[in-house]
Amino acid sequence: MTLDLLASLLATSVVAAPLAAFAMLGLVRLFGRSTMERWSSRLVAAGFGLGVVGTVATALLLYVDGRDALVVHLGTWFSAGDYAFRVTLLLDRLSLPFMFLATVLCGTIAAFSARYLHREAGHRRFMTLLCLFGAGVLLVTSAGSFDVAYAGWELVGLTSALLVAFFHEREAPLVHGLWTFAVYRVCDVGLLLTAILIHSWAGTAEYGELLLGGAWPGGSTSLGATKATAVCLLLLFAAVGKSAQVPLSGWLPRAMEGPTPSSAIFYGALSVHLGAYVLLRAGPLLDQSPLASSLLVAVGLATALHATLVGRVQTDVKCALAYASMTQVAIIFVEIGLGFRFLALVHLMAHAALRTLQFLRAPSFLHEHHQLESAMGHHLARTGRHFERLLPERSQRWLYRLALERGYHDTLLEVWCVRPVLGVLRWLDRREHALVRWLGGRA
Amino acid sequence: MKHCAKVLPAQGPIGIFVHHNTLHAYEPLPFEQGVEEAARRYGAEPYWSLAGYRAALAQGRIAERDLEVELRRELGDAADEPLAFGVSRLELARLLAVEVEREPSLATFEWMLTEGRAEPLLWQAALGAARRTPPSSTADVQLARGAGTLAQVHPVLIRLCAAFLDQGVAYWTLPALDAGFFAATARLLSLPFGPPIEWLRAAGQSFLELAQLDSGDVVLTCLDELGVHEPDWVDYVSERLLALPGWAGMFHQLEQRPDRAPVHAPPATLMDFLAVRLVLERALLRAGADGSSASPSPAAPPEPAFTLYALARAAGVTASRLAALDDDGCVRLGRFITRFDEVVARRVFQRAYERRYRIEVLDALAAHPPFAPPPPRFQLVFCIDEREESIRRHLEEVAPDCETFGTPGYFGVAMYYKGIDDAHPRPLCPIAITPAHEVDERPRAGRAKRLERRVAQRHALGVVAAGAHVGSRTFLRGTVWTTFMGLYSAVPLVTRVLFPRATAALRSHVSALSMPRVETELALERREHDAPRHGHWCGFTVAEMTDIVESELVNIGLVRDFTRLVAFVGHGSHSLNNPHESAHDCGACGGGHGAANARALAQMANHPAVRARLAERGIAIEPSTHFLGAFHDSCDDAIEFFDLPDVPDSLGTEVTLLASRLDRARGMNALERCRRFDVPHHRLGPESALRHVEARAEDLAQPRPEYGHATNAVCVIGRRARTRGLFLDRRAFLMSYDPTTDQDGAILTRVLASVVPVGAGINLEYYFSFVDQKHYGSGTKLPHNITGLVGVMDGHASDLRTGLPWQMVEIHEPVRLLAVIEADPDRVLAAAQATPSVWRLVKNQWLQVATLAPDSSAIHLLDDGRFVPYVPERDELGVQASSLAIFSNHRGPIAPVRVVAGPP
Repeated sequence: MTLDLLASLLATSVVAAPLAAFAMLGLVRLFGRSTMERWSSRLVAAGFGLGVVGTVATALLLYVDGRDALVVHLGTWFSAGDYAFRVTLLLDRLSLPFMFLATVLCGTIAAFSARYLHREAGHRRFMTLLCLFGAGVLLVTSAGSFDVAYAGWELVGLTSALLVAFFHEREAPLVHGLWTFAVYRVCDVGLLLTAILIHSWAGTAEYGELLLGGAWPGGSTSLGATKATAVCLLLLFAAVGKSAQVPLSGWLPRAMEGPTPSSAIFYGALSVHLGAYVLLRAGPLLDQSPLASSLLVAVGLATALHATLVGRVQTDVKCALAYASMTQVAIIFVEIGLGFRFLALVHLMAHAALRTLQFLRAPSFLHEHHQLESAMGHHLARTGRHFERLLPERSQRWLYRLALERGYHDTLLEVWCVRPVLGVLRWLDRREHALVRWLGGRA
Repeated sequence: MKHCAKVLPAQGPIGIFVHHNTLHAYEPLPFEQGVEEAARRYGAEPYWSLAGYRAALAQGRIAERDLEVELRRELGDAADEPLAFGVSRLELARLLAVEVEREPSLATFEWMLTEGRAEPLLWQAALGAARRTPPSSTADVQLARGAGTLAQVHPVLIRLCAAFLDQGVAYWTLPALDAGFFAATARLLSLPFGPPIEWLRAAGQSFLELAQLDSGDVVLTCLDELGVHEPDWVDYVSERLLALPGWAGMFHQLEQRPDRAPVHAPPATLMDFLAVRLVLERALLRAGADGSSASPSPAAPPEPAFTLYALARAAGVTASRLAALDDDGCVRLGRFITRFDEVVARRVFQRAYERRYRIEVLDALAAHPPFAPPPPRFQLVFCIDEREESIRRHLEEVAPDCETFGTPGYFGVAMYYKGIDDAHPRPLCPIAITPAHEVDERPRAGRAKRLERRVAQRHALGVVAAGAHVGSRTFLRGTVWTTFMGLYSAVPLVTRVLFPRATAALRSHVSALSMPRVETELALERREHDAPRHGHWCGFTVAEMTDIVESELVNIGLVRDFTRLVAFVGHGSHSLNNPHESAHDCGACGGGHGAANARALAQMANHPAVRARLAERGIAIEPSTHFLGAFHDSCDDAIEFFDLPDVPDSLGTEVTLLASRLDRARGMNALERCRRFDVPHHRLGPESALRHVEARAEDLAQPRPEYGHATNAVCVIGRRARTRGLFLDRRAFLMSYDPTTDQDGAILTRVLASVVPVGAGINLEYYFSFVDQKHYGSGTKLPHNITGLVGVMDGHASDLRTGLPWQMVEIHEPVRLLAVIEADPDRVLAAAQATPSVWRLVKNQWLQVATLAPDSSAIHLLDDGRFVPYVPERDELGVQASSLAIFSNHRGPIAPVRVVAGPP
């Protein structure tokens, strides 16, 4: 029993530490005090460092105790009528590895950014947002219910958009930050609806009660096939946005407007994998729904093909990495859809580590390219020859153009979705104005 | 076209960064006129911000007296005449410069009025007076060029440019690239089933129609159709090019110097770029876009009433007195405020700012007694680079028997060089010189086998690395690679970020253990009848070597009394997280390492046949004297010696001794550099400082591996004795020149021709990158994204950023280079006039010039084309026992101080 309590405390501290760091940084700002740069980055690194220790200790305790999972009830946030938002954490074979990954990466990035953003005007803003982001990721991963996951999901979305627009004195980051935010918000609806539907169908959104029996990646659900399909499709919609899958993938290269470390951790490592993570969590639901699983595979395949084609014509280091990232996340989607969940988890973690390092090395690309050329003793061999051999000239050009314009996805979205929606909104706005004028005129 | 291209930045591919005057095209104009005209053209800043100068005034970097002197110079004889309220022009101008806020936020001001923090009566009076002043002319408020562009074109155009100029980032290259930019774009965009954007489809149609034409004709067609008449062509085209100056400039650079392309030169022409741009814009205009709508409205002229109000308040004028001012007074005051606008205030401030530092340096030089050195035991020749000033000073402090010299760091050896680990030869000499010779590094006798093993091993590692590089990004290989190898990258990820120095040390240790070490030498000598290879001579003949060595030694005045060991020390820098790495290398080597040059010169000077010929020309070098090549890394302060096996046994102990002295000097040098970094340097010692700078060089997260040329401000051309023992704070280029051996001024002409353009280029590049990081510099480097191996963008689709990033220049003080030349004024004038490029800079005051008399402490300052005697402000000079005592506990700039070492 004491072991249980200890493990619960440790697990809670993992999520609480970055939140506490965020709160401290925020409060200091709120009261108008200026924090020392050094002090604030140490605080953030310490928060995530504690997280690493907490995660490892929890895992060890569970292992010693011979248990697969631990559910921590932290109480009720609020309740309304029948509904109560219960804060529950679930620590198991899926969440603990991902939490370990998240805390290690966030801690490393905090240490990296302390030097990278040294003397930058937005240093404290970055650190504050990094804390909140880390807390959000940890909430999503350690969540014991869709409700808690949704709270973390929102934090991640908000901080991501704010960090894309980190350099707010220029226009481009703001435009791209807004685009990212819009895609996120639209797709958030998927997760929100999931939580609502699950509540109304199953009476609870707690994973522990919903996904029964067997340690991850096993388990089953009592939800019927139709309901499971509906839930899975909504989850897939949410994941497509968060993980930059076709056709909503266009925000990923746009997200490269932020400072390098945020690009690394968000779009190389953590944010983009969160979609895959909730799908992994919802594994038993996917098992119930061949339709959703096949759609998942289809989306993954389409994205992988799209991203690998587009990625091959990217001429700047960060976008090339962004599309490489997208390709792998898409393949992870396919693996999840095919039911290889354990493989998907390993692939996900390995990919996150690899890509983060590559992003951090991106500014040193010239240096490394030069070293590589000297080691080889000549210019690097030209790649992409097989495209030229295999494809007729005209289709080569057509494909190249398609890739250069990133599959026209964003253009199509703008023409087919953004403009009509804006049109409707403007029309409503005009009606409202007219109405107000009319009312005002009568009075 | 040639005329239009002048306005574009002259920065080539970023891998070889060559410092140059950002406003090179404006050099035919005097400095102040040039920067102000350029500022209007580019919408940029001519000088530092008013707030910057005011802060400098508050911190004492500008003295009140400097401001007064320069204000008087600007205002002329009428300075002391009262203008209004009995206050003199001088005082009003001072208030306008120092206190009056020029661009108020009216909302803030209204709030201040309602909150009672402003004086309403005075404000009313000011409003009244402002109505009676003539309206200020806004005729010269000019739009930033290129602002009124059709910005929708940019995303498409940037992607096309990047695809065309890419040097090997993309896996798949642009089809039909060899046909040129216009043809390749035309083929690409004219295909059916494109994106659902009207204007882009229309552009595709235009490309189809125009595809047969030459890009020059396309441009003419477009200009015709856009209704631009011939007299306006230059202006219009320049404006179009300046909408994306970075990309247009890169096209131009690669057209002019295809040899500077890092991998393969695409057939880039500026005309192609312009043709594509105009066709796209024409399509957009036809589709109904409004070309002018994107232009920002010009900034509102300063509210005259507010300026009046602020001025009156600062001058202590009451509301009633302001209201009582007659019409004539209002007009005079209004005119004065208009004439003494912000640009004028900043111009005056800039002169005052330069004046303060100039006085500090000139006073110090006048008061510093020439150093009478003991007979030296070692002579070392460094680069003139201002970063080497400190290591020379520390060396002379820890070992007074060391004598140092300065010369441009390519040591007169202009060559293509290929080391055993290099893939290609690269030029190592100033950018203006095209080398005729190539020198290769080769294994020493009996080491060829080891080299083969080394090459094979490196190649194998390279294959793996290249496989990982490409493989991790593709579809199938990427999946396998990431799944199975990905987790291992967590280890370097964590260790490289948390323990950069230890990780780097471990890596180099492992590679040293596993990689065969090969002793090498330079294949330097060529016989008279050897044929050239690839158009270059392979090595130098004895006659050529003799000329090089003679000219080097004569230039720096080292022609007799050689010590037994003489070292030539080249320099360079290595760092991570730094696309601008090459900008930290030796400028005289065209952004390369000066190691091979130093090594080559030493090897030449050791050549018996060369020595024999030198003796015939009057430079007698004792057989016991040995020359040694060495290398100083200005980032991690490592020092390396070359060709040690050639050192005679009798000099073994001398080499050890020199090495230990340099070791102490580099520790002190690292410590001095640390004072500029944000580390608790007062708690560091030489050892820990070295560890700190070593970590900086290997740190993936470090945006400031070193500060490069930041703070450079002075160039002293003369004997080291005149500056030895003077703490110059790493701000002075030090060129050795002995006026007593220069009979007819020929040496001085040569020296000025090689030093002035390089020094002024570096200095002005820092000046402009500092005063306007948006237009001249490249801003903060945090969002920089390397593109096509040719440059950096901000984020994922911006213009190529040229100039220096903020992290490199943030501690810079933007003053024009002050060249102090130890020679008679007449001789300096003649020598400067002998070289047109030098004279243009000097005449137009892109640098300041002063002379120091060879036989006295008299100083003359060049003012308006003639030298006038300089009267020092103070004649005593601060004295300290060591450099350490001067710089410890100081972060900011330090004025020159004399170092008088205690007993050894």
